[in-house]
Amino acid sequence: MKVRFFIRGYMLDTFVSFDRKLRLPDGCSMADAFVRVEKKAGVKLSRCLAESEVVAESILLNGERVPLPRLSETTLSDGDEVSVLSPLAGG
Amino acid sequence: MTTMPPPEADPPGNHDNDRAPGTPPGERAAGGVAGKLLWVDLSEKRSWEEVVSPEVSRAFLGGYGLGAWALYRNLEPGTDPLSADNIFGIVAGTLTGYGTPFSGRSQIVSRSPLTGTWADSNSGGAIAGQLKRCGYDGLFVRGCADSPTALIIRDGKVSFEDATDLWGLTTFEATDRLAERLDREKTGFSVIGPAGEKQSLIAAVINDRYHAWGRQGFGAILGSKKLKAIAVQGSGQVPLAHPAAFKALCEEINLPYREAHSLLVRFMAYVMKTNRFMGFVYRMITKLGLKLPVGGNQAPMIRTWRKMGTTSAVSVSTENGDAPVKNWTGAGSKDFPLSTKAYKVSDEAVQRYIDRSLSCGDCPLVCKGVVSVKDGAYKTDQVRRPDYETLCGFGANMLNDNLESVVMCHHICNNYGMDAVSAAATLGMVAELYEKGVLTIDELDGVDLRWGNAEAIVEMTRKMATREGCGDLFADGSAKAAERLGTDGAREAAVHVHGQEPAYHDPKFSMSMGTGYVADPTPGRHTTGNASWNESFGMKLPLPDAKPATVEAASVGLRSYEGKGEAQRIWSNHHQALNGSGLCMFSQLTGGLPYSRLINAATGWDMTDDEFLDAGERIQNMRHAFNVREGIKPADFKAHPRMTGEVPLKHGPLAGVKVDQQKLKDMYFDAMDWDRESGRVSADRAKALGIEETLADLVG
Ligand code: SF4
Repeated sequence: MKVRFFIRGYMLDTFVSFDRKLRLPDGCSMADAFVRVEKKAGVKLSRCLAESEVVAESILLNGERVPLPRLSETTLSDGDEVSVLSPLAGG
Repeated sequence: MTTMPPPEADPPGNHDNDRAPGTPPGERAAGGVAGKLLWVDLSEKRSWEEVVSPEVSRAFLGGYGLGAWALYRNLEPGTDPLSADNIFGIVAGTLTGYGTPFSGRSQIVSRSPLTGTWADSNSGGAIAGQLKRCGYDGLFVRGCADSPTALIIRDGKVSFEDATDLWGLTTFEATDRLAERLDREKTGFSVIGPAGEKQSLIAAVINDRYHAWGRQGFGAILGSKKLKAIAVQGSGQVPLAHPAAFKALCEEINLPYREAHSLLVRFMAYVMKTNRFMGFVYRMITKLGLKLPVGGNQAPMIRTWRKMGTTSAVSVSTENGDAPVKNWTGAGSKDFPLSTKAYKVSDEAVQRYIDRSLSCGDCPLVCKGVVSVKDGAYKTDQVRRPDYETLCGFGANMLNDNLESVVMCHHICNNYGMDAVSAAATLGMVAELYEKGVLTIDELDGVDLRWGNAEAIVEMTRKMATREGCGDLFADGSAKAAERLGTDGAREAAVHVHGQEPAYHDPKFSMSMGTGYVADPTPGRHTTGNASWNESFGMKLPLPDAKPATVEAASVGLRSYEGKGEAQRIWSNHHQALNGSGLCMFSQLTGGLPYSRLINAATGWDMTDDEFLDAGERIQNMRHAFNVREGIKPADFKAHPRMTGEVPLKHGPLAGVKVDQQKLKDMYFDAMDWDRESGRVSADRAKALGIEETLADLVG
C-alpha cells in the first residue's frame, strides 16, 4: 500500500520539509511507519516526538489528530495521508 | 494627571519649534535618545518641543512606553478617537535611528476608533529613525486641519503643506508623488489611502509604500484630522555613549546572519566590494534588495526565515489547526488540506512571485518580499508579498487557493490603506452570512461571495476599501457590520474581541495566544507578546542574564494551565520592553539579542536584563491603565465562543477542544497584580515600578 507523508517544520534544530508517498507493508501501524520514514525524512522522529509536546500533539491521520499513545494500535490503509507538523511562528 | 499646556499661540504657517513652558532643558542621556518630543497642532498650524527627562527615557524606554507616558499625561479621558482632540504619536524606540540590528521599525500610539481602547502598532518604516535624526524621540499630533494637509518635517523645521492634490490618491500614488520632491532614500513616509480618508474604522497607515500600521484604525485617525501624509527627513547623527562598544555588539549580532551565507557567497561579496566595477554591481544588488544566494552550514532558522519569512508557516498552521478557517467554523486539515489546497498559498508557492527581498531597514535577517504577478486578472507590479496573516486571511480562511487573488487582495489593502487582518475576517463573516442566506446576492451588489470564489473575494475587498455600495456596510469591520445588520445570526458570525477581529492563530491550538487576545490592552492582537513563544514555538526567554527563576517561569507546557499567568506576565513584559527599545519581535527567533547591553552601549546606562523586564512591565501597566481610566472593565474583553471551543469544532485536530480563556485571563491579571473586576493596578506593584504617582487615581 502507499501512504503519503508530510513532515514539516523545525524539528531538532533542523527545518524539515518532507512530502512523499511511501510504499508500506499492509497493516503497518503508524508507529512502525514512523520508524521506516524517519531515515528518508532525515529527522529522528521518535526523539522529536519524545522531546516536543507540540509536535507530539500535531500528528494527523487524514486530517484528524492521533494521540501519541495510539500510534502503535493505529493501522494505516492504502491512500492514507499522515502529517507530523511542528508549528512555525506567524506574523 | 498633568496635562501639558500648549505654548502661547504663534502665527500660523511654517516656523521653527518653540519650547513648551514648564519643560526645563534637563540633562540628557549620554547618547541614543534625543530627550525631546515634537508636538504639532494641526488646527492652529503650530509646533513646539517638550523635553523628556533622562529618568523618563530610562523608565519607559521609547516606542509604546514613551508613547503611553506622553498620551497618559496629555489625552483627556473620554476623548472621541475621531475628534480633533484625539492625539496620536509616532515614537522611536531607544535603539532606533543609528543602525541597531532589527531597529528599522516605527511605532504609533493613540486611542483606537475601532475598539475605544489604547492603541499601538509596531511596523517597518523609516519615519521613527528619521525623527531621531531630527533630534526627536517622537512626534505627537493633535487638532484637525481645515483642508487636506501633508506634514513635512525637515530636521527642526515643520511645514503644513496643502495636500488637496494628494487626497483621493492611493498610498502608492501619494508616496510616489511626495518622493518626487523628497529624496526617497532619506525620508520616512507615512501615508493614508482612500480607506483612511473615508474614516474606515479598520483603515491603516502605510509606511514607505510597503509596511503597515495595520490594526486598530490608525488610518481613520489621520483621516479625521485631514492629514494625508507625514514625511520626515533628518540629517543629524544620534550621538552614542560608547560608540566602539556599540559597534562591536552590532558586529557580534550580525555575524551569525552573515555566516548564514556560504563561504563562496561571502568570498564573492568580498571580491565584489573591493573591485571597483564589481563594487558598483554589489551596491546595486544590495540597493535593489536582491539576495545573494544562501547556502553552506547556515542556521536553518535564519535560512528559512530569510527565504520565506512568515509564509513558511501557512500550510503547517492550516493543517495543524493553528490557523482558523471558514470564519472559525472549519478545520484546515479537512476544508483546506495541505496536500491539495494549503500548499498553493504557502511558502514555496509564494516564492515563485518574488521580485526581490524587502527589509524594514537595519535588519540582518531581511524577511519580507516584493512580488509581481506578471499577467492575468490579478496582474500587479512590485507589491508587498502577502505574509502569514494575509495568506491565511484571504486564502485559507476564505477557502481560496488562488494565490494571485490573495496577492491582489493584500495589495488592495495596502494601496487603499486598510488592515488586511480585519478586512479578511470581515469577508469571512460576510461569506458565512451569504452561505446561510442571511445576506442575498442583491444585498451584496451582485457579488457571489461563495467560499473560495477568488473573483468575488477580490471584488468585495475593493468595495470595502472604497466604501462602494455594500462595501460601506462592511468597511468598519465585522463588529460594526453585525451591529448594522442587527440580527443574532450576524452577531454570531462576527468573531471579534471588543470590536477587533483576532489574528489567524486559534487559542484552542495555542492557549496563551488567546490570553493576549482578551487580556492585552489592545484586544484581538497577536503581536503583543505572549507565552505562546514558548508554549507553541519552544523558545526560551531570550534574556540569559535575567534571574534564573524568571527564565524558568517563562517555560510552560502546551496543554497544562500551570504557570501560564506568570509566564504570560514575563513574555508580555519582555515584548513591551522590545517595543520600547524599538526592535522587531523576530529578533527573538534566533535566541534574541543582548538587549540591555545594546541599550547601555548607546545610552551610557547600566541597565540589567531584570531592569529591562521591569521597563516592559511599566509599559504594560501604562497601556492597561489607559483603558481602566477610560472606564473599560476587564470583563468587556470577551473571547468569541468559536475561539474558546464553546462552539466546538466537529472535525480536525482541534475537534472538541475547549480552552478556559477566563481562567487564563484571571491568572494573568493575578500575576500582573491587576484587580480581576476593576482592572485597577495594585498599590504595591505600582510603587515597586515607580508609577504610583502617575497612576495615582487608578491604584489600589
Ligand atoms: S526580521 Fe523581518 S519584520 Fe523584522 S525587522 Fe527584519 S525584515 Fe523587518
